[in-house]
Amino acid sequence: MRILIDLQGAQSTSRFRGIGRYSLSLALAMARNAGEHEIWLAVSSAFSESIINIRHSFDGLIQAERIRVFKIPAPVAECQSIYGWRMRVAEKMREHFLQQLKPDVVFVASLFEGYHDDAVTSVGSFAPELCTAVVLYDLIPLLNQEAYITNETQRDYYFRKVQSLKNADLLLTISEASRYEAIEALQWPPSKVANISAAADGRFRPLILTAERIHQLRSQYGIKHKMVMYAPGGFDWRKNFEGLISAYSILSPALRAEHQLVIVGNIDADRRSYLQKLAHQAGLANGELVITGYISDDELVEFYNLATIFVFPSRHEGFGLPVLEAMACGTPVIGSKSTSIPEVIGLSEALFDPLSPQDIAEKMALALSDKLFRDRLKTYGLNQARNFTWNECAKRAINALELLAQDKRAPLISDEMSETIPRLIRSIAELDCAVKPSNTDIVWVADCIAFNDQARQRQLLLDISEIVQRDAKTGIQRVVRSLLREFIENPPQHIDVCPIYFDGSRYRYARVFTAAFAGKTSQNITDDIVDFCQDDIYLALDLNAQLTAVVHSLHMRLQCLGIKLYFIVYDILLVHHPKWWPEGTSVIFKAWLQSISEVATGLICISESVAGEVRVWLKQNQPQRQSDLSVSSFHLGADVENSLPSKGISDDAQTILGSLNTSPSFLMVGTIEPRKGHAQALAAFELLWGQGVDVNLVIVGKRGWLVEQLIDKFKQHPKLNQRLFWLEGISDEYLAKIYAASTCLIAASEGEGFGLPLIEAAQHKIPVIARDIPIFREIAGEHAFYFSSLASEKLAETITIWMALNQRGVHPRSEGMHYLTWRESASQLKEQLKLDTAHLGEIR
Amino acid sequence: MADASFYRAFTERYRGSQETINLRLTAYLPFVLPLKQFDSVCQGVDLGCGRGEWLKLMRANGFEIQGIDLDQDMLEATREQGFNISHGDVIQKMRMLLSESQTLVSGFHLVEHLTFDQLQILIQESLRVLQPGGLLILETPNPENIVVGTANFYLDPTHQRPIPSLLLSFMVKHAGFEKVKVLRLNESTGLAAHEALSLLNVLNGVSPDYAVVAQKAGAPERISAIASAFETEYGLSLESLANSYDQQIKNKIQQADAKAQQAEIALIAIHDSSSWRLTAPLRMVGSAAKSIRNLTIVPKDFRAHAILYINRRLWLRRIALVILRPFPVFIRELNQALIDASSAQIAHVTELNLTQRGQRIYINLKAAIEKRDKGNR
Repeated sequence: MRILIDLQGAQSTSRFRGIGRYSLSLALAMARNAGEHEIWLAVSSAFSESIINIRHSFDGLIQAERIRVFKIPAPVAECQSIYGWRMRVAEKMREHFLQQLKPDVVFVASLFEGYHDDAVTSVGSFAPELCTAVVLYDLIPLLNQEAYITNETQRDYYFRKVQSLKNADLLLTISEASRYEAIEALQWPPSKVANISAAADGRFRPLILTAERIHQLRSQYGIKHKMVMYAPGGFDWRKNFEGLISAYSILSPALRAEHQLVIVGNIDADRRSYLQKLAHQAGLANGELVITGYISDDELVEFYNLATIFVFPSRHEGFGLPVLEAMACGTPVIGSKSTSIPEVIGLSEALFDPLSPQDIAEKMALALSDKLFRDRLKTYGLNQARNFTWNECAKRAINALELLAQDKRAPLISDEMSETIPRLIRSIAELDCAVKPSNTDIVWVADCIAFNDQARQRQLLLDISEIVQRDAKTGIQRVVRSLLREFIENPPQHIDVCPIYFDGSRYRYARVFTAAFAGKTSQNITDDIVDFCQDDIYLALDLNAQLTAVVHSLHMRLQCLGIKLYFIVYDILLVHHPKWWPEGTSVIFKAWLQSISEVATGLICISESVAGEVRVWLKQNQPQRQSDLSVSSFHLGADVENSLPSKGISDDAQTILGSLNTSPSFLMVGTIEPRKGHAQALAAFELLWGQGVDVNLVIVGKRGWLVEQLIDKFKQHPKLNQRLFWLEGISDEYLAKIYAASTCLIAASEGEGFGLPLIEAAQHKIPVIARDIPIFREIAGEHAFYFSSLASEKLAETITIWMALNQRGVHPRSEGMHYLTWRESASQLKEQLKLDTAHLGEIR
Repeated sequence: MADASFYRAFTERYRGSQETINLRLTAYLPFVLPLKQFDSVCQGVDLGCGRGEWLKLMRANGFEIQGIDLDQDMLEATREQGFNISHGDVIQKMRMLLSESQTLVSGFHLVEHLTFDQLQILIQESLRVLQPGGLLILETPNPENIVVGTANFYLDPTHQRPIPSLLLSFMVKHAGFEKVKVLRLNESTGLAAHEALSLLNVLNGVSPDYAVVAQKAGAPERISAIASAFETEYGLSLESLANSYDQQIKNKIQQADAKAQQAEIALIAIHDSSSWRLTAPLRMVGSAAKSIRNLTIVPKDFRAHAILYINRRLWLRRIALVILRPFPVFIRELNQALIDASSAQIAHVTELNLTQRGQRIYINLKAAIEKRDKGNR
């Protein structure tokens, strides 16, 4: 059986109150006790922050794909009558959405939502064929209309909800008393309402408080004597403050001298002064009545534990949670003999008539003066509390749902999902509403309907913003192009590969670019706005640091909606070595890294070395996020990318190649940057030349940044073009000849994300001397000769040793170095995306 | 004339205080004073004497000047000080004077109130009543000053039209005066030194007034007595000011060019490197961030503009905030502006922002609703 829980009760403003906690706790317990049944959740995107919390709470209990997000055209709060049309439409849209998920039962955790906020609940407003069970907390407003329904808008709202309630297939109440109430008030068939009871949070338990803590609490709240505690859980009239205060005043002076009446809970100024007036009128002295105001949950537990007795004189409850909480803490409890309270307390001698202050007073006096009686209450209470657990509630709920599913045949939903949207549109058009929709309303609704449509094939969104808008032909962008080609030519199954880019305010499909990239015409192709749906996967192929500021909030929103975000991390050198780049670059890079570590589902690095560094950084920086961040790695491909290598050889090439061939020549290939180690290499070679060693140093590479002094040194070097050669910006053809004439490649970089030069050396079949950094070890393994020091003498030594090994032919060879093709690389990348689609076939 | 006292009040407000005017009038002393030596009593007439500033100055320097004005209020104030003044029309007054009876005829900010015909008559009468070697001084606003000529001149509703100095000086010469000189007057002293000029200086810094000083033919010693005064250059012309301004701009450009050349040489090398291109996205924001940093020391109007700039480019936001942390006030303003802007941005979709599927649904939905509405009517 597929149970779909509408968990808006845990998202809306209710989530701060009992109903919110009940909804969440019950849903969690149902997920734990589901057995063979499937538990799915439906949550509203109108409360996006709560979605992250919910996903986190259910992590491990429910697969992420089964937490479905729907969009409604907020704002729709019913207290604002101008939202009227949108609210009605939202109800239909929500039911349409639920229907597409093909549940056997829809379980609405809280129906009476959406008056002050954007929650949307209804039964039978669009899809009456959906089998719906609704949790009913109480019908207090229905039974006390003058007190609770004060204006027309409230009346409309409430009675429309009651109508929805009546459309439900099953009601689940939280107490026997409420069940009975429902049967009576709604003329409801008993077979269609079941009691699933309730439970208290695990934090309510007996505690031993230190004397210091007790003293702290007492002085903070002005409690000098023993406590007679009342935590009403609300401050409406049914909580019976009049009765309680009156009863307290009847107590003997002796008892009153030793005790204080403490009312615990958040209260506004008006009500507070009302209560104080009551106390004064009843003859209570100053300080006999203490009103604490707001206290935290933890303090509440302490109060229960501190109290001598807990009294609950409420006239009407759906359950009476404070009673259970107090009992669970081992506090002696006495309470009203009305509605649900007796079944919670479970002990008749603990009950009194709430309408008689005399009766309340007698029971209080008894409890306060008779220690044995108190102990009895305490023991019984602790025992009784054990009967109320969330697992118990969940099991009852699931049993009731199983019975319901047996009776009701599975709804005949046509397999033509494409038909349901037109049906929805017709239904919306037929709405008769005082408020007419504006064009913006219609647009908004259309947008939400599109999002909620489950029939859309999921997309693999490749963010290639940089190369679409600019092509700087950097190393990274060659990687992006290669991977893009692989994904287009070899797409994964059951998912649409869609390259996208950010145009400054939104994401668009990069159709024009992709057509050109694939060599096709781009006539009649437009770059439409990206249609995001819940199961999509976003993969940033490029480093888009400059977009960070504006896309961050967009990415957070996508994350809330259930879209998985992956980012390729090329390296984090800028974090640890900001001095290797021009000033200010590292600030921007850090902002990007911070952003992606907050929004990403996973960071995919281009080597294990980088992945290791990233993990360390994350530990140190603790980005703000709820769920875990996966950090994994893959390797780049090293196929010869250019099918058209550049050509051109300068005039002095013959001379240079001649010199290279004459003596052992050591080659360095790569841009002249501070971290690449050219300075150390040059110094090392100067030592060797000073010793008369017959070697050349060939440096191939354009000048980068922050290296003016070094460049000058090259240009003015006495051995330039004799032993030292610097070739700036040479063609691929020329470079191939240089490789052929060289004896060995030196990779002296202090930090790299990958290590393409090593692979290139291997491809050209020349051996490698490399700095001993983790990334080079990862790439070259044992197929290189390593050195560690930053000192030029040590490098000179290394070279000497290597030459000796080379003489005897026992130097490490590079030929065995393992590298991937781009096909293999893309394959590894796909694996990291976890494109496992098995369970997604369920909806379709 | 509308309200006489209006004019007095107006003059107080816009003409300048008496003290200021006194100072300005001393510019003429090099012309006037040397004439004292030739006659024991020097008579003169000030046409449109107004508050009597010239009268006062001349008395202090030993000249007995009579004044004439149409404005009773002004005259009362002046008469109180014991000057010989009469009420009436200046041309009538001139006609009543004997030929060759005056050493000095003056009219300060008079001629712009006269019609061309009146002015011609006035100049002719001046020549008649002046002794040989006598002086005519006519001061009037200088339309060469662009702001005066196009705007400020018309602040006085009784002004006829601006009189270019070439015209007035020609009229005076043509009437028969021997020596004629145009003096530009009353410019700001700082500008006279041609220090750092702005465009606004060029537009409104030229001498706001000018005077035609003319000497009737006479005995050689009278002519030579003030010859040197006639030789000197006075005031700021438009041409000189504009030229100075141009030159200053040229100099600045030259300096900038030199700097740019040096930088360019260094830059070419860096630009070609591919690793530089790698960091291009990062640097783009860096330089934008730097330019934001510089914006904070610029006056408030530019700040508002900067905020607008950043608004429209929200991608600068996070970067801006990172760099601007030392500047709390700017951040507050920026944040507020961004909140306003982003709440508009996050706003509801419009038809243009709908995805393809959304658009299809929108069209169908809208059609269905309209159909229903029609059916209902």
